Amino acid sequence: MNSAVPPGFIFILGALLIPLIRPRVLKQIYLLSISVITFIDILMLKSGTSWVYKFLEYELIFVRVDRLSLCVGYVFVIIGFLAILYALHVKEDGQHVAAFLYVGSSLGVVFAGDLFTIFFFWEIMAGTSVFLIWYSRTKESLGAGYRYLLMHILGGCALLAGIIIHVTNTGSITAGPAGGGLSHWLILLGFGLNAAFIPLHTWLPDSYPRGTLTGSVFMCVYTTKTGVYVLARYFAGVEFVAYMGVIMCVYGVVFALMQNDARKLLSYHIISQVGYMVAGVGIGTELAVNGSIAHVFNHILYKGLLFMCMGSVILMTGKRKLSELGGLARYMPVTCVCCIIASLSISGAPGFNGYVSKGMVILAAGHIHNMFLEIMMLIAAVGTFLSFVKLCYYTFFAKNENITAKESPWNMQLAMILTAFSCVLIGVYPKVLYFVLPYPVDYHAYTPDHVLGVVQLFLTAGLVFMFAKSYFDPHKVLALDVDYFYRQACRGIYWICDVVFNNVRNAVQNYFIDFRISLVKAGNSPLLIPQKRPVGIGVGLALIFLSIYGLVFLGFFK
Amino acid sequence: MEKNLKIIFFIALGVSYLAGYFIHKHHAVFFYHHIPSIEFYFGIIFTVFLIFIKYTIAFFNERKEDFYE
Repeated sequence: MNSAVPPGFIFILGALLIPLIRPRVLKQIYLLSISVITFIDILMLKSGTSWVYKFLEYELIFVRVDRLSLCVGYVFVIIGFLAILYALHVKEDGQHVAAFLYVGSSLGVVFAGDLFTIFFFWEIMAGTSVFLIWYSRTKESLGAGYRYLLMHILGGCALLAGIIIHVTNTGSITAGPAGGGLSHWLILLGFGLNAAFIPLHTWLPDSYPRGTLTGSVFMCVYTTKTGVYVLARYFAGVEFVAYMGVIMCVYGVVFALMQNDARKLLSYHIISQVGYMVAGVGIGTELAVNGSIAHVFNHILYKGLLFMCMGSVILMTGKRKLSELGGLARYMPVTCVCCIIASLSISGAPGFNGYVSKGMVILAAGHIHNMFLEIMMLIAAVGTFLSFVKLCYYTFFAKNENITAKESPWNMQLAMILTAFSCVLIGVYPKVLYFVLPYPVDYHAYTPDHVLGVVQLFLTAGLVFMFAKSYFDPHKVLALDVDYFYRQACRGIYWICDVVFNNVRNAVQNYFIDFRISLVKAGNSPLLIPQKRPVGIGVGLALIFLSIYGLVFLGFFK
Repeated sequence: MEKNLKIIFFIALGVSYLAGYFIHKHHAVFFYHHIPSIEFYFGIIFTVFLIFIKYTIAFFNERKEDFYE
């Protein structure tokens, strides 16, 4: 039995006290201390289940501890601390409360031991994270927030329907869905929406660039990674998941290359990098799942760092488009170095954390002799490198005489430096990471052939970039995604409701108004009945409905 | 400075290509794993492929920035 508290509860209860604490310095200490307390709490957790409560005839498990949940729990709290440090200058309590509830509910999903508890925290995640978008207080963020919420409600409905069917069929809320029935696919749809499966991914590049500068750092971490976590828990080794993963890898990269908005480019790269994790889960071997979870760990660090860097750039320049940026290396050297470290990490360059985990997943694809998976992941690796050469070049090194900026506040810089340090630490000494992975690790990241292969891949991609740079120039255009079709479909539904249904309603309403008037007139003068058409139709309708009611009552439709 | 960086880049490119003939893959599974410096060729092929795909898709889906407004 664990004596420790469910880690998510500390953040959720901690969120409620935030508005009550004064003065500001004390509040800042309080904000940081919650993650420290949670980290200590996780260290105290023992393997097994605890905090089990009866609900109807089921047992809800709030804490299930194993190596998988611990690994993801550690990194969630570490990045939680760094993101809070990054957001320490934010004065609006509401943003902190939303972020804390979001982190707490994500931890709730990670340590949940049954499907009902997962669903409960799953929905809190969606409901709280949307405020990190709305707090931008722009027209775009309002719309993006609603679209985000709609998509997550859709995913939540699919998940709940799947869970109910699964529980009805098996009677268990702890075992995962198996066998490919309807519940299997509905639950996969619910989890897959959070993991940004194609074509359910549209909420991600739509909403993340419109979140607050600090809120996006939280958002880029938790939603998609909880999706990968539950996939690893319940769908490891499912072939469809592996193929979906590599499609995500390449799709995200291609769309990222088209982007001009820096945070939108990063958002598409979340899809691509989550693709590696999903592919690893789908491959399902110990090496692949280790690689997938290692990539979750690393991606959280470098993607958080990238959003921090771009947040700093946007805060200090007021510009978010690559076509308007450039030359910031001399004004923001700390941000520039951190961004380069994050870019090398996400590209999987030797010496940085992405190299370790990406190599594990790609090697796992080779071990199961699936050439398609390996080639797709290599294409995505090249595309990632190109995207981040583009991002760094057009933000920090391209000529732009019209721009000046200062470094961001100390707390933002400190958060970036600490995150960058952890990216390099894991890259240089990967045993730190191996120690917390779900399965025993028998993998050597730094073999000469692997290092050389990655170096060759990047040098030649860099060579082509050098000679064909104009093909990567950012343009002031919008690249439509499949959300175009969703928006058209929603407009269609709106038109049907507004025009068709409203007209039918008006027609029926007018009919019955006429009928009522006719009845009143008939009451005054019964001889007028044959002259008024609506009475006849009204009586006819009444007779039809009464007949149907009679048939139902008599049991003809049983 | 820029010229020196380019010289270093091209030297690294040449050295890495030649090194591919001396360092063999530990986990050679597919036929292309046996080709020396295969990643060298992959880097070029995949970059050109991505540019092609990007421009093909952009032909259909690129609109003005205020398209949704």
